[in-house]
Amino acid sequence: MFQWILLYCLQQVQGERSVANIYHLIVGKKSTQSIQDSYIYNLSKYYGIYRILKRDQFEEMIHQLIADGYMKLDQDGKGTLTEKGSLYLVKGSHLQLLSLNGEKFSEKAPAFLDKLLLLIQTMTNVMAGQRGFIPVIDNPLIQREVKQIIARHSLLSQANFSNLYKDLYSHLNTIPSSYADIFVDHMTTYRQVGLSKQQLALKYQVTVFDIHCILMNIIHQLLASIQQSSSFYVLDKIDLVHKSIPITESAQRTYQQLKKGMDIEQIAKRRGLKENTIQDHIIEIAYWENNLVWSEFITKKIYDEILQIVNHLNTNKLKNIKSHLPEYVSYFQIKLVIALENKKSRKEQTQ
Amino acid sequence: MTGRLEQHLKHHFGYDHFRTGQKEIIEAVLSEQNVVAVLPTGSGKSICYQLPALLLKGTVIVVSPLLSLMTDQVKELKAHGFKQVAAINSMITESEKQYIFNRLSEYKLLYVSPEMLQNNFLLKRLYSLTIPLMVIDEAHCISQWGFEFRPDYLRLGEVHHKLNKPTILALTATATKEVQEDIIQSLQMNNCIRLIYPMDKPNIAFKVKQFTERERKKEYIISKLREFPVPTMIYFSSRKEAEKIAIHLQSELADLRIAFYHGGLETNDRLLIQQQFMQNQLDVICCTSAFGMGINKQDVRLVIHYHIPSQIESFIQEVGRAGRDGEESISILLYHDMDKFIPKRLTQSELPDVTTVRMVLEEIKQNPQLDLQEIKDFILSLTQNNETHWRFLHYQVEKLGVLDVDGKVNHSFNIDQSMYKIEKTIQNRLDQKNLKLQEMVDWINTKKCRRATLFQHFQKGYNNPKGICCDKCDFDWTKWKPAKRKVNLQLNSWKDKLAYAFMQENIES
Repeated sequence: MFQWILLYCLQQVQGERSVANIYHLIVGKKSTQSIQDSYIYNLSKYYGIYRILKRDQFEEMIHQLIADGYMKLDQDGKGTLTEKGSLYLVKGSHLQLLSLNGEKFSEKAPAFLDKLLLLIQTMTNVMAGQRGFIPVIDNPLIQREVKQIIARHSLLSQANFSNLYKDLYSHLNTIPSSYADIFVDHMTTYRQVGLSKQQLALKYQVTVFDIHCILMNIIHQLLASIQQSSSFYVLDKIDLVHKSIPITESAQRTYQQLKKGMDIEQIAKRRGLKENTIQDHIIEIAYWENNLVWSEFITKKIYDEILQIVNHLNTNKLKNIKSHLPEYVSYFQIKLVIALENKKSRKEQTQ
Repeated sequence: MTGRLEQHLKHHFGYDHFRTGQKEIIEAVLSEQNVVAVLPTGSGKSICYQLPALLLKGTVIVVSPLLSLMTDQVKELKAHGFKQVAAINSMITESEKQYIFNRLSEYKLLYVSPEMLQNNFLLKRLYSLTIPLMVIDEAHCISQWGFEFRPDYLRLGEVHHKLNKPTILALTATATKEVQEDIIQSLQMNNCIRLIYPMDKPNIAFKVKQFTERERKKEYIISKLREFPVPTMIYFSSRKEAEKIAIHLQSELADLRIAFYHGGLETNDRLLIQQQFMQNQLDVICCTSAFGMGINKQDVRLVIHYHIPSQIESFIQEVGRAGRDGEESISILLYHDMDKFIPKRLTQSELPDVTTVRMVLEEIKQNPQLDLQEIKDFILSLTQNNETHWRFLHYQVEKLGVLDVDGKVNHSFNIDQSMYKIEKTIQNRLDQKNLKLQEMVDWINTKKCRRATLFQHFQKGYNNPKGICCDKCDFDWTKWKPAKRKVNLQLNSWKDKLAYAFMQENIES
């Protein structure tokens, strides 16, 4: 299914972005370009779903897709689907992982999974009277956090142990049973050491990359249900603190400064950055913030002019758009309009 | 005195008795004697400093180059309730480092990688601590003649001096006489005692199986594992091969649980595989030399070498992972005449080539304002992030005075002279390694007893074998009767598995 996702991304960018851009999107690079791409091409679902994917693994996969006749690559590194590829997308649409929500959850999902696995290992061991065990999650920050969660909510009780079981049961019961099989085999408990991703891949006859995506899909769905309902006893304690914002830290600072009434030039000067960079930040903010005041950057008249051309040409290729507009319209203004319109349409969709 | 150490051993580690060598080493160290100890793999080297760390005032420092071994030990100690222990190496995060730095004096045992001991900030903090004992693990790395020479280790003498010369315990599993001399000299260990324990294990039998077709190795392994489904480690010299063969074996041997392990796996996956093997959820592990450090499994019965190691020392260490419980176990090395070229290629790739050396020197010459980090980045980018090449070149340019001790460029260095010297060093090192490889090949082709020839450079004589000796003496598979393996309960649906894990109901198997 990871293969399906890659081809889907390729289809969505319509040859306007290189495969390297797709890589950045998948690993959730916090750059204006990747964040923008995820919105423009309607791929925010897949943004950052595979943070630990290595560049060479990605490239190997692209080569494989080419070798198998699903896609072609031109000299600029831009990919297009072959007929076989398009057919595969249609036929394999069951392979898209429906619960992924990268924009919202991809940043916290890997750590959430680690915390959940460690919590399961800890609680099953302690409840079996086994206090000494080697944690399956190595990361000391995760270990400390799980310790805190357990202490804060006094989780080491028979009642909470059953509650954790009930929580897991009810969540796993809502997902396809083949996914539940994978998750349960991956858990390390007092009774068993979990299977690694490689082993899961062999056992279930999929790729390691698929296993990763399936685990992420399970976690994204779990995070969504935790947000929607309060029917969990233990799982909703694992992560409450962080609300992640999908924009760069630097852009967040720019936004603070804008709200204080500073203009682009002042912000750039104050922080020793180029004005271009600040403009990029504003684009990022525009994709995400409902109430950005844009009248400072563009007049209503130019806004409408740009919008008309964008709709008319029906493309996101900036060069193309710019050539149809008067000289005084800047790239920044075009990007801004695309961002604001995108945000507007996404907002309408969710309402 | 008698009995007191045993009580501590029982109390802290749960063992009733010391194993060979441990008590002598601990007693010597506690009476502030410098010690060079050669203890075979799997004989419990770590107890020799972990127990003193609990008894001595202050912080015991352990220098070890094996990062994952360090982390494993810290984890294991913590799991057993010894919490005042930490590891400082390049694997920990910046915030974790800060956390440890702020609490240095609270630790009783501190593992430090040799690279980290170059960190002046850390060194300054260490000077203010009470350090009763400095342990140099894998001490053979200090010797240029050693098979794993590490330039960083040569600086340890200086560090030791600055730390006010605490007692030194230099530990290794393999050291010839020359290597022992080197250790004593470079650490200036005056009045030290040497405690050398034999590394041969009477319960391991040796066999070399020669092949004229490489492809046949697989079939051989399959037939042996079918006959003897015992806990097995199979060593490979390449990651790809380990993966490929593991998958092939699994497809042929459905009853056995087989996995592969190498340095390219994600950390979490590595942990899972290790623990499955420990808990008897896996029967066979196909691995590279990355596996095994710190693996404390007692009942490995069979160690197979699919490829030859590049020197006898590694072979002895890897074979030593068999039969730690003293039960009869077997080492088989599978050999094809062309196999010797694999370690040759690996050896070459461990050292930078001439063009790289020249490019580095020219870069430094042209940009004398570069700092150490920038030079490091340059070298890493040139060598596809090869840390070994960086360490080698770093040591060379420092030794030749291209950089001074603070890492500043010495403007007057001469490219050609430096080139010549580094090239010579590289050639020497290659010759040395080829010699080591030849020893290994000679052992394979020997007509004499394998046990006698394997250990001849390391110790006088050897123990009589407990069962079978080797294929030059008396090897016969029919004489081997290993115990049956344990198989855990098998469940099928996720609902059953989840209920079982959470002890929700009784499930009939």
